[in-house]
Amino acid sequence: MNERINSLREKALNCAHEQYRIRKYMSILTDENRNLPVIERKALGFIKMLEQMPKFILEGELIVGARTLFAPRPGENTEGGLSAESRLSKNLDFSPDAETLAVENPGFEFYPSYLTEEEKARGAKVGIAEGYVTSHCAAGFANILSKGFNGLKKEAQTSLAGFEPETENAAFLRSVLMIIDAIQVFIEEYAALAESEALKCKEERRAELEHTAVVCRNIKEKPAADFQEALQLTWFTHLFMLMENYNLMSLGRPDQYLYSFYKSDIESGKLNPERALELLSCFFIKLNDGSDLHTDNGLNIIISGLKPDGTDGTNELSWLFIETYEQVKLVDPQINIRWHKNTHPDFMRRAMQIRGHHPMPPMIFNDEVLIPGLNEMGVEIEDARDYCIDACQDVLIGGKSDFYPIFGGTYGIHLLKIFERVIPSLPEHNSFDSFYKTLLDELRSDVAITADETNRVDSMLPQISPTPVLSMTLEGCIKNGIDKTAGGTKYNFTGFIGGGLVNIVDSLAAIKKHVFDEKNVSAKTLTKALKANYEGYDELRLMLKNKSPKWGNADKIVDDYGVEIARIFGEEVAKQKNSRGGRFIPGLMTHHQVRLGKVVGATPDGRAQGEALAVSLSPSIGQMKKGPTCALSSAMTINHKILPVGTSVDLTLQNSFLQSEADLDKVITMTEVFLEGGGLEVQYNVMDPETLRAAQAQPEKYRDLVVRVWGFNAYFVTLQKEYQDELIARAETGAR
Amino acid sequence: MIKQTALINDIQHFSLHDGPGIRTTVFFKGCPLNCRWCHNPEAISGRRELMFYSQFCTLCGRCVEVCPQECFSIRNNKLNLNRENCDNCGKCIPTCSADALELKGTAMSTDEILSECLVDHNYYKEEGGVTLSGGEPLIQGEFIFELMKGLKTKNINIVLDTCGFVPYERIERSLQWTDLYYYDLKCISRETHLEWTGVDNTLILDNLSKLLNTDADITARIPVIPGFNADDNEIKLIAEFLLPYKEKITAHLLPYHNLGSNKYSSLGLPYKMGDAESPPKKEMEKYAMILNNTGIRTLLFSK
Ligand code: SF4
Ligand code: SF4
Repeated sequence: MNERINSLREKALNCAHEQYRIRKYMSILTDENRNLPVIERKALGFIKMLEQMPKFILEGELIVGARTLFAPRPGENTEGGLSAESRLSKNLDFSPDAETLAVENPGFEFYPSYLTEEEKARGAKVGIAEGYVTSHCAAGFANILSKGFNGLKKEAQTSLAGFEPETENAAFLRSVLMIIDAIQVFIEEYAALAESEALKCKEERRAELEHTAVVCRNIKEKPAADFQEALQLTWFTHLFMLMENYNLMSLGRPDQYLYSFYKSDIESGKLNPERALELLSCFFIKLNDGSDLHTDNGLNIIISGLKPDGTDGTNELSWLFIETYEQVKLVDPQINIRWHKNTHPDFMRRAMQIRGHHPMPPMIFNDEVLIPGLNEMGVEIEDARDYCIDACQDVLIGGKSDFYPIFGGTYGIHLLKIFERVIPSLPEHNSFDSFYKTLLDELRSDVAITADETNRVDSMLPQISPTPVLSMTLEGCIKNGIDKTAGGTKYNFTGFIGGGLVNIVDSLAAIKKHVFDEKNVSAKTLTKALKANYEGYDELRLMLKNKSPKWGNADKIVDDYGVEIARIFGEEVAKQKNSRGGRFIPGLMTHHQVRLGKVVGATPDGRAQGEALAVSLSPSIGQMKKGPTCALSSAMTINHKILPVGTSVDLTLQNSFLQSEADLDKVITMTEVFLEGGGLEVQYNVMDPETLRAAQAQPEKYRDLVVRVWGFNAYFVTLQKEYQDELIARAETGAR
Repeated sequence: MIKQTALINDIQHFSLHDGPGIRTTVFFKGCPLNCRWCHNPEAISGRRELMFYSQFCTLCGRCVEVCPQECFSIRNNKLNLNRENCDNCGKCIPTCSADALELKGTAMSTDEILSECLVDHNYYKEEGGVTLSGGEPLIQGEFIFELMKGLKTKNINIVLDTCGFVPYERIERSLQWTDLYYYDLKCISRETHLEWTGVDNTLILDNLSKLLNTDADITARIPVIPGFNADDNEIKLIAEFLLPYKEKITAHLLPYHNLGSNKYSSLGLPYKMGDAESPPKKEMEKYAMILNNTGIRTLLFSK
């Protein structure tokens, strides 16, 4: 690692830029502007933030810019500024949004006030606060890189000419134009700052800063002309996304949209791979801008996979991203790959060997399943081939889609909540089939009800919190003159994620065996025990836990419940229409396994209330009795194609697994069999419990230990204790 | 008459270190040797055996009620198991919700074993397959050959893990189905071998020589045990023995570990290795060097 990167990395870990952050609430509302359309007021809020954000350039930086404006922390003086004390304690005691969803708890990002009291009240009725966003999106990076801000401006002007001034379309386009003007001023200010800093520096650094000024001046108007400009423009764009959409925004497929710049610079001799690595490292470090503020920034990068024309898109940059990740070794961004049947074995092997402080194999997404699956949902084939993932691990089309469904804390559908509703009726059923049928009927009707509820909230969003900054980058919005919250982009989907499947499947298997087949326990006693959270029923709980067949062990009878529930869920979701002229598309994942585990009572699989749920399609903790191949085989029985927002199998392997070449080969073969067999996504968490325990005991020594929680990586020491414990339990019971 | 079933201790999926590729390992119960360091003590006896994991016992007392031989009693907050009367009937197993009791040795037919292995069929690809291990698979009468035949009709690659202490004709018969032998080579000195494993090694070494003269693929598996063969001399003797076959043989050096010691207490048996420690990595590397220098391809495994 060269000295520049080393020192910038240290600064990022210590959050050296904290000193430039200010913390205060702001409002743009005045008597003059309160009658403007909401979207224009929201644009004014963004502009005000751009104007007021302190700017800085750290020693050695080649990519510049950062978010420096935040809301005060709870209990902090509202004037902004941070006491020395809380600054010191920042890294370790800090679990602001802990387990963590931007939309549930927007951390300290905020948006200047732009709504009237009456508008706020209207939003509150459906649970949308001022500035509320759904995040989980990837901006149109390729679009901006190729057109530049002047290009977007021109499109917006042309489009504006086609609408009457009092239309919503015109309001949207006026917002876009205001935003672009302010962005150009903001970037110019960075150019000026670089210039004035240059005056204070000696030769080499002076030249660098002067060049930074040139880069900024070019990209404030024009498309990116080289690799450095492309990186700087990508970062600024992402920064603007974060200001409007807080965090959990994805970068899409940067090895694809940055490649032409890299390639032509290399060919012209302007760039060599070493310099590219240095620039990329600076870019990666920038992506850690807010890493001290959130446990989960969800900064996912997905590399490789098919190009829109159907050929393999793996390129030199894909390899370089891996190298950069290993060099920078910070929590963000997280590297993930797309696999297809022509993925080069060398690349697959390299990706499986990605290391931070310990092996960090990527999430591996399957093109062979996702592309036809998305196509089936109405995504054009070229677009389907260009899919990426959002901040977590949900699939979307970068720059062309909107789809996320988290509204008012509705986590897609929490399948286990449905199960919980049905289970008290167990004693009324005289056969297992009759109980099972009731459950499936309830599932069907719940999907429709949840879709309706989501739509009710969704349709209010354009009136309370449109997102013109994000929208102007997305295909279709400018042309249609419609914000993405109102259905302006190409694919207006609503993703619909079902969680809790595995615990339901295990519960069904236990009920079938012990209540109906072997009659070891009566339905009445079981429901009583569940109500008592197994208190006084310890023996029963152990029997259900230890003496019942479980999901994840290639047991057809158990797996079939999963197959059927997944199919019904997928089919029902795909029937639902949303309020933006699009449709719902399904995915099956269980995240927030600890939080969701708390809100669901005891379950018949022997799980007491508060115990974590099984993660996504992985076996419950400690139930992977037949090893990882059988766990994958169970997951493979589900028809993943009809669940193109994503599914996931998250297996914990002991640290020793990926160390010898021979063992690595076996893990790769196993992975390929899973993918060839129709699995959608798999990821390995390689941890050893000793290290995690040591980190829990002495957090200060393990400040930069990165772990994977589900779709996101986090510094282990910043996780809530319950999540730390859950990871330790997973590490202990993982395959060895 | 062919035995209809054999006693199986375990069928392990994704067994990492039992041969090439992704493998499923079938552990038979029963072994003619009784090695002091054995890390699968439950595989030695050819009869079913009860294992009791006291750490999981909740003292619920249900096993006490159900056992027809009155093997269990609870005294001073401890469950006592008197194995003398136990006839391994297995009645106590389902009553133990805590999974503190396990009966080792499930009678399985060739079809049952086959179908459990086939669960992983897709994963085997060209390299992987099934490893027959134990215990000693070759003492399972005709059963083992029937099973091998069955595996071969499905075209499954077979690794046969043997201690070699069987009449040569049995090894010879296995040749037609076996893709690779994992042949345990423990030590060359007769006295030491007898003392530590309970049997004379003449038959084992003779069988190995004969096998080495066929065109079978063979890997010699050498456990490195402190006090037994963990010294330069023994390793040199092994190297000398293998030298004439260096073109065709690969050796694996496996360091002693005490990970199996808990199993001894679960079986109510004394652990005979005391607190012997694994040979350090340096020492293992030295032995590997001795073999490699002789020209024998040698792989070092970690514990
Ligand atoms: S196996 Fe039978 S005899 Fe032995 S302890 Fe259990 S119940 Fe008693
Ligand atoms: S049944 Fe199991 S848990 Fe209960 S006393 Fe016996 S061994 Fe212990």
